[in-house]
Amino acid sequence: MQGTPDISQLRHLLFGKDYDALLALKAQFENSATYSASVASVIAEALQHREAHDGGVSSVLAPTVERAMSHAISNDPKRFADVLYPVMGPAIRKSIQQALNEALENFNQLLEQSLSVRSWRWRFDAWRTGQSYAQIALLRTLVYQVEQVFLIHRDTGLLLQHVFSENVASKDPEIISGMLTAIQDFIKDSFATTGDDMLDTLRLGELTVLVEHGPLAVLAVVVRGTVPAELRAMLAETVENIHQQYHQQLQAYQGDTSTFNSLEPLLRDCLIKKQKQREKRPPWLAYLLLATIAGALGWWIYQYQQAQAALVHQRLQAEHAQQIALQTLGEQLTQQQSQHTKLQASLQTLLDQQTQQQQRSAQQLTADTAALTTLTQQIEAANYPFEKAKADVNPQHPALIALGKHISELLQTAQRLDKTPQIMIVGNADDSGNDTFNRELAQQRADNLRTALITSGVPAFVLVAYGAQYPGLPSHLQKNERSTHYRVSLY
Amino acid sequence: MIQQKICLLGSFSVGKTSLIRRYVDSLFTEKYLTTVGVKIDKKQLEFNGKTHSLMIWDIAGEDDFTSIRTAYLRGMSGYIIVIDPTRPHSYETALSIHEMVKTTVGELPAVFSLNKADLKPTWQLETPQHQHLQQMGHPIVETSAKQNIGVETMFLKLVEKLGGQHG
Repeated sequence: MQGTPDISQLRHLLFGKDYDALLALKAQFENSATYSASVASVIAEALQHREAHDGGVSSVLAPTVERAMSHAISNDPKRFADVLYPVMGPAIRKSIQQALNEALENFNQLLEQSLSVRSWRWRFDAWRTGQSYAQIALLRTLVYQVEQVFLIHRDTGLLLQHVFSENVASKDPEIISGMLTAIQDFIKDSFATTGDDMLDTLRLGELTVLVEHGPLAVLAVVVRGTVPAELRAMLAETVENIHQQYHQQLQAYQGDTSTFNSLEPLLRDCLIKKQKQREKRPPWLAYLLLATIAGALGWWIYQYQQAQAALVHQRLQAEHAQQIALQTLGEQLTQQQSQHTKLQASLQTLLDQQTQQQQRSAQQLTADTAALTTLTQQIEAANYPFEKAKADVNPQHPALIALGKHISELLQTAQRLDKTPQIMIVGNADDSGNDTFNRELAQQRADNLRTALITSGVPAFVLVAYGAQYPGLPSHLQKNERSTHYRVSLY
Repeated sequence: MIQQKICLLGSFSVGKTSLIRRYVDSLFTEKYLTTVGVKIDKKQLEFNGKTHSLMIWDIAGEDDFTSIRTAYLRGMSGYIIVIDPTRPHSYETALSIHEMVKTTVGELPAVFSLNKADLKPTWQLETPQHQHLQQMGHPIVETSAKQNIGVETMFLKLVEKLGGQHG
């Protein structure tokens, strides 16, 4: 590069200090450190300058910045979350709150639309007139609305530009603009006396057509509702504007409407509307419904709890009643048990008594039987000594008294043993005397004794009296003595 | 798109409204509507690769007692004069209308229509009258709204002349 020293010298002679500066500059560019330092000193200003010039920096940087950010986020999301946290939190809260408010508002609107008397009237009107509910609702809440704007070429009556608002049905605007012009001419021809008078307002029910005349173009607007005064002024301004901007084109108009397409925004500005200011009310209906739901829920919970409490109460009562019944039953059982015990005791007592009775009666029986035997022996051993050939009986005789007493005892004892005694009295005589007499004597003696015994109180049915010779008598009773013998029989 | 205003002129009951109805809606009505003022219809058609939107002004017929409102003629690009050859008087009216238009609006493309071609045997148009019409240098089209004869041609002839004018 340096060449030969001569050439170098020549260069110095030719360029002098400039050459050194050039070399220094070259060194600066070649050395990346110095170059970047020099660029760094101006890069911010350079970016600013370029951005102000044509905004090219943003579009160039955007992809790089996007890539850098996505890279950084995927590397360390938490850091970004931390950075964004103070911004995102309130934003999310605000957004949620807004969404809730909107939902409530919409809900209320829906309720109003479906519940309020007014909405039903509108629905009826819609049904009656065959229009949609939305149209009716719009018309009823409207103060005024500019529905259509026609820009009409004044000479030909041809439509230059036409705009109309949403929800408006626009029929063939070219024909309308022609007819408007024709009517204009018709009215002017028919009624106007001075040359410059123009038809500027048409009215049909709620519709008003305002016509603003310029020298080359006519602006006609269709307004529904009450036309405000300022609208007329606005139309005049618009017409003036149009004439200023498009004077040449309007004059040279030969049917090509595309020239006036750029007028659309200007005409669209005329499509203004004003709705009845609905006073901002709290959404009462929504609140009411929510309150009703909450109330119903509360009532239901209350009822449920009451029912539950009643159920528990009933159960408790039932349990109580069961306990009482159980107790009563227990008591009854105890009573019955005690009664049973008592009964058993009394039965035992009775049994004991019976045993005792049996024992006693057995004892009695034994005693009675023994007494009976004794008494029988005593009676059968008794003897009454008769005098010779006599049959008289002395009732006071101790032997007789004793006999009577024995017989009475025998009778009592035999009765206790459920037996009936019979005492056979057999009269005897000794063998002195003749037989006939003896026989009679023996009989007499027995009879007398029987009578004496009966007199002393012995029942007659117990005693039977026989003479010793009576046939069939046991022989041991037939004695050859002056006596009576006794034989006791028990039946 | 080129928008143009054309007018249909002629005596009473020569069939202007019927011709327009036939052209615009392709629907003929036997009921003759006496047009009192003006009625406007629209027809779009292609000519030489351009879309033409014709605003057709059906202007009430002229007779001895009423005259055409000249205000309606303002701004028109061309016109059609309809003649009912079964009534010779309509021919004279046509000529006077033609003169009137020339004086009030100026020389414009025009087409003459000899309507009621379905009743051609009863036409009373004399040969000299026919020749006179032809000498005026405007296209002459025989039309019948009832039988849909020449209606399209009539409008096309006019558009042709308009196109030539705007060339």
